[in-house]
Amino acid sequence: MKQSAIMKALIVIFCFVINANAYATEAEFFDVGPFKLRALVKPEIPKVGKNQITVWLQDSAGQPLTGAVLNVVAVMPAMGSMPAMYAPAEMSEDMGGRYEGEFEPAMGGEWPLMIEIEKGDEKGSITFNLATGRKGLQCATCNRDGMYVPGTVRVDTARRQLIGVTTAAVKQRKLRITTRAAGIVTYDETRLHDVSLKFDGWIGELYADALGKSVKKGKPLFTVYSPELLAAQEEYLETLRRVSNKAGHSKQRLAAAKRRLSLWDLSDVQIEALGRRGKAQEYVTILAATSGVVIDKQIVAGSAFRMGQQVLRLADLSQIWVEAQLYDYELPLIKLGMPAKVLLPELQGREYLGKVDFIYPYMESDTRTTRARITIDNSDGFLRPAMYAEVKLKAKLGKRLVVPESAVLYSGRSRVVFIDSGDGRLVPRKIKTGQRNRKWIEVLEGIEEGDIVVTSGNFLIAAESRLKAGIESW
Amino acid sequence: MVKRTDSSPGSNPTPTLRPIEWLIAYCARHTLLTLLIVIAASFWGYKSLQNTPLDAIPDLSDVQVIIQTDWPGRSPDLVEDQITYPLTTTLLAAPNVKSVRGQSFMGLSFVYVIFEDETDIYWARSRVLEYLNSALDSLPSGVRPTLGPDATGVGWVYQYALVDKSGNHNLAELRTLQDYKLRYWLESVAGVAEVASVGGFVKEYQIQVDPNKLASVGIPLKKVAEAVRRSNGDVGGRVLEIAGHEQFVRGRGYIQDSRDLEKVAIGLGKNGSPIQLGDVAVVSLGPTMRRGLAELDGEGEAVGGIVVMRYGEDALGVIERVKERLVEAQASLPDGVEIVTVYDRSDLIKRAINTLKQTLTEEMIVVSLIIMIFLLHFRSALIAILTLPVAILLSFIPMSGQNLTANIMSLGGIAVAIGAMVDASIVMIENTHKRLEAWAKTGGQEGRHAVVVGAMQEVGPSLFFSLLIITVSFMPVFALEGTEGRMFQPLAYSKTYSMGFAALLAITFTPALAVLLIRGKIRGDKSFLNRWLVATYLPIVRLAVKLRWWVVGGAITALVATAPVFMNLGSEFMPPLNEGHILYMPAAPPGMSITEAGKVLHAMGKELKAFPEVERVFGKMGRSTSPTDPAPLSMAETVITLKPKDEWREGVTRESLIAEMDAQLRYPGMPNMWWMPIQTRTEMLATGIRSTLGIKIFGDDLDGVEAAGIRIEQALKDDQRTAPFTRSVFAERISGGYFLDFDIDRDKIARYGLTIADVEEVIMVAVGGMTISETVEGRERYAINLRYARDFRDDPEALKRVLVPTATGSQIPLAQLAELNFRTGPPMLRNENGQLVGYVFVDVNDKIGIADYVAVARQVVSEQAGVPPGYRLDWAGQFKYFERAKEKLQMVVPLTLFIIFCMLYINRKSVVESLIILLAVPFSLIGAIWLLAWLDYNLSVAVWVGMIALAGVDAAMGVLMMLYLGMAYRQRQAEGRLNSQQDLVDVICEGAGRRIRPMLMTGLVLLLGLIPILWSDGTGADVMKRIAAPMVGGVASVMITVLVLFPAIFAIWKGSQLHESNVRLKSEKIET
Repeated sequence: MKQSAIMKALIVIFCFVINANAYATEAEFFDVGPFKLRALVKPEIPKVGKNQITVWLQDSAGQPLTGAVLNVVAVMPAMGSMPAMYAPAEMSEDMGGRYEGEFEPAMGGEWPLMIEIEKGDEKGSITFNLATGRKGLQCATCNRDGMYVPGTVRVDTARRQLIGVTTAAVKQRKLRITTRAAGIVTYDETRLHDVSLKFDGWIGELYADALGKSVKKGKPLFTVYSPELLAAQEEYLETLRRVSNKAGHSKQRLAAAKRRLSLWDLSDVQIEALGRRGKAQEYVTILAATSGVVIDKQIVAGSAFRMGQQVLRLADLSQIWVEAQLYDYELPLIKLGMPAKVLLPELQGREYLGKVDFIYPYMESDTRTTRARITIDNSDGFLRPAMYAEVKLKAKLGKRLVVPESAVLYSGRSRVVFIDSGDGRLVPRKIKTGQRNRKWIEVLEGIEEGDIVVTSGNFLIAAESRLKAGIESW
Repeated sequence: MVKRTDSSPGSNPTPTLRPIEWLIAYCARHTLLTLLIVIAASFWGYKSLQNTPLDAIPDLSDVQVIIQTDWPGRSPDLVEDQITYPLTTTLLAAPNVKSVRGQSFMGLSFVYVIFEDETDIYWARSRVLEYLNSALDSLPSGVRPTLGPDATGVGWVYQYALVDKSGNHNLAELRTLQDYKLRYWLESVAGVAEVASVGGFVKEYQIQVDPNKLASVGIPLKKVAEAVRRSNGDVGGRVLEIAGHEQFVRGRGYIQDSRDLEKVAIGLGKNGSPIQLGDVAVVSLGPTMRRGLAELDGEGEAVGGIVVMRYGEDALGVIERVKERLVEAQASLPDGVEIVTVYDRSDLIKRAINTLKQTLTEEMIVVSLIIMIFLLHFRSALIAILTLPVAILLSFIPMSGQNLTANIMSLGGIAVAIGAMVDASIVMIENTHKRLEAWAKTGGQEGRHAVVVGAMQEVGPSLFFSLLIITVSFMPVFALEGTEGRMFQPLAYSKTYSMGFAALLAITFTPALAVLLIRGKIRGDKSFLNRWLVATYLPIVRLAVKLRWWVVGGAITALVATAPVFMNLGSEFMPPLNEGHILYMPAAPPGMSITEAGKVLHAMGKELKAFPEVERVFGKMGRSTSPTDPAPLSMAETVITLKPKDEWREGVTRESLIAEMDAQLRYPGMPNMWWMPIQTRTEMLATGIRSTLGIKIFGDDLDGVEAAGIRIEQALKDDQRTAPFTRSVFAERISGGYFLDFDIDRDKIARYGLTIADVEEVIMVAVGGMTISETVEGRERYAINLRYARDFRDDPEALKRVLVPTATGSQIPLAQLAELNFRTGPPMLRNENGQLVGYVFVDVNDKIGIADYVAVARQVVSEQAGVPPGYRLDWAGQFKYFERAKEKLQMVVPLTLFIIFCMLYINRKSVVESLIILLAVPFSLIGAIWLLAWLDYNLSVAVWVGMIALAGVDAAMGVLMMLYLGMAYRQRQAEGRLNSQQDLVDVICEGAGRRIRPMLMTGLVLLLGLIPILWSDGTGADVMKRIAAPMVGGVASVMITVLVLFPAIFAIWKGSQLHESNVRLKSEKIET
């Protein structure tokens, strides 16, 4: 306990020593634009009521500056609905380069003191921290080399920690911009297969008897009865018989008859079997030409169908498409072949990686979107067409000069970052921004690689800066 | 008991008795009756004292009615156009309205209707309600303005925090407890106008919609809102008779929890499957948007309650009742929840009253001691000493009749009056002593009683008059208006009443007591002290009379020398009142987010609590629910309660502590401000322009107002006529608010067949969230809020993708319909009497009078600045008050002086003499001003009040001196021994020198009676010190004036008369 008390006392004393030092150095000249300036207030601890301010001015050569026009004003910033208050000092020159005036704060509190100097065409300005009941003046806007930068803020390390100021270096980084789009899982159009027959007829037995039924290539789909098919079988058998008797030109006829059957979707095996059997079948089995899932079915057992009618549609789901729906303004970033991530937030957050295979050259008029296609392997059949997915399309913009998103302040049209110029000083800098993503913002101009920018706690920094910058506020 | 036999009024030398002399004689004769009346009156006074409401300082606020209107989520300009403007313009027409001010914030509008002083607040409130009724039609639907409490920010008498150290209750539960239990318990306490809540989380149901899913099912957001609205309600179906019993029929459908909400059907899918809210949205309980938060001791967020007292109530009584109720409430709170007092004004009130009580006691003791030392007669001293408390008690009778509260100011009025109150009694007793001594020496024939009465009658009328002069001379204080008026009128009343009663008692009570108590051996003025005084003073008087012209010259020189000192005094609005609590009030420019605010407030609380002198830190940032609290989110108001002084580190004073805190707590962007709660609320109430001169620009368009302001600034700076006199001029730049605007493109939305409203509705609901219904869960009510899920709206890129449904069923992102623009603009709009207003602050140097400057500047502005048509300028600022005060004082001060002069003339019957007495006034200022300069006090209204009080005292002292000089002169003249200059010197020495005792007694009583005020450093002493300082300095210099300068002037005056009469005598001699 005692020790801590002693420690505290030491700290207090230390603070005083530091303050005293600060005060001693303050009486030195600051560079203010083309001038040098030294300022003192009397009483040392400014009070509510009348205070004196004395300013010594020198030109750049260190000679007393006479005949300058000084504009000195202490401002208590607006608070809530209370407007700002001004305590100006009317400065008069009493001897070479020394100017004096009085200002009168009307209320206790902080009254940052702004001094503007004008002589001829040359101008300069500086802001001091000043508060009633607090000793002396501290230069609020000076830089390490004494240069005045409007809006410069000085915050020491301890204070930074307390208000959570963090910094980061400006660097070249690969900038990726993610476009999030709504996506729909669809059939791979190239893997759709319609079953339609080239003759009229009737369905006998239906094996692919329900929507969603999966069929394998070469397995029977259904059997059909068709007088035409029957006639064709007979013709084939007839030809076959003739050929086995005589040789020669009949071989060609056989090939034609076989071709006819095969064109009517009978497989070679079936035709061979027919030949072996030597007897035409009333009901012929139709085999699946590809594996897939029945996604459309116009028939039930016994249905009649007409020539060319689509009776079944099969879809191969081992590979599916995801179509991302993109709005006009997003298109410029979308490139063929860019990586895409398909997310299914509802389904355990499954993710699929793919790339943009195709961007449709036209727009959907009803949704006002353009589709971009991503092909995805779906061997496990997890993805079902018409599922909703979230598609993240990553545009790689290459290396760009970026700052963290939280470093950029939006002040109307201007974008501002604070640069740590060392020695506890933070300088506002207007920048031009380019592309951005959720974490990074590209900087087109205003800062350079290696600059240190403030990335958090910048509200207070900006506020301080704006208070001290006066009318030149950014 | 009383010797009535040897007394008779007939013994008075003048046969025709004037009323005062008659009264003195009457009271002296009817001692018992007088005493009985006085005792009865005192008892009445005591009763009145007990009934007097107590507060720290008078309520300085205008008679005002606040109208608060919530319109969540809307930007300030929208609130201004739709709410503030229609309200202000309607209310302008209400009777007795002085002005109507409006403020539009984000989602919130405040309208302050300020009535003429003296308007009854409840009458005013009903007028506002009447006019509000007619304004309702012009407001957006669903917006309902509410009347603020019959209280002001100054009525924040008690604040507490709810904490739960056990960790069983979260902030939302604590806030529920505060909002639905504690608040109602406390609001029912008599005198409480409102109990406001701050901090914690207000629960609400949040429906966070996933826009992609919503788009996929093809249901627009509007339909979701409609579905939720229609899924929440209970109905009644009258009754059903069953077997002779009636059964109430009810339809039950209030939403009870988030699961109910998830089940709300928002549509049907293609195959008839229901689409429920849970399918497209996440429903959860969450906090509503917060515009304020509270923090306790740097330990984390807390829930706070603010007890606002009704206008003009007895603060102490209200606080005590609230505390009692809180003790009862503590028992019914859930386990672990505690109520922590974070601000309690009763301490301050008690301390302030105690300080003044102590000061009053000290003053009485000092006064008594002086009387004792000079008179060396205890019983005589007792007379004067008894008069004091009686006069004080009596003054409470009219005060309680007027319903004035006892506060620092009204008690202070008594404190500054005490010295003067006993003057009359002292002088009368002294004169009695002198006469009795003479009577004893000469062995006069009249009875003792007659001598006593005679002595009193001799000085009584003059003294009564001088006390009346003191009373009357305070009249200008009554002429003060506005805040100063409200501040100092209680003081003026109490001082006037106590002086008036002291004057009355001097001619009634004192004679009666004198007859009773002045007995035994009277030492007269032969005491050692007195002989020494006379011996010291006589040579001074002789020298003064001899070097009369030098003395006059010296006095004038001193007066002239004081002028520069006076010019050098600073000025302040109101002297600080040490309230005990510290209010740490740093404010950042607008635009701070709640997260940042919470972080900062927490850090501040932690740092403050680390000071060993700090007992408690209660931070508040942003606003509470009270309409009396318009604080923006960027303003912290941290109440710091200090430990008792004996627990402080050694050598730490309040000032050094604040300095230390100030050095430690440096938050960039948040200028420190160390104020005190009441002072702050008072200052905050005093809206308007604080600088000497300001130009208000009224207009309909904010940009126009700002542009006009900048043009005026330029004109006044550059024009040759005003430039030499303009010290500074600043036009207010209205910005600091940050806006993200969706500029809707009409061509683009037309392509999709959308209207502006279609798009805006989406912006409002999707981005901002909209309260679409309210659940009813027992006593508690929570809002149901519909909004896009966070991911879809929390950065500008996401906002671009907010979807707008079109007629064709497709959903179009906002980016394709509107342009996103970041802009800056006003975070708050000010409206005065129906028009937008901007300020230009002007500071004028002292080479020109303000009124002249205004005349020139008006011309310059009208020629150069080009104020557009439809805009109006108003030249405002403190100078207006000064002008108004000046105008009034120009009437009142001469009138007062004239009345004083008349009274002097009636009393002294001589114009010259009256004028000489009035001379004391300017000369007394010498001491007053030097003392102020020495104490480093600024000029303030309090100081001026002290000076006004001084004027009366001056006159009273002057009257006394002239009375004695005149008495001696007339006696000498009657004896015919006034022929030469030497005779005149003798007269003056006799009059002044022999009467040094009463002069010094009254002077010292005045002077030393005020010293305890200057000494005291308790609560409330600061204001009193400012009043007392000019009086102390002034009385000191007036004593010198009266004792040295007056004899010199008297010598010059009477000398020339003597010379004339001598010349006349000589010429007569020659003729004969």
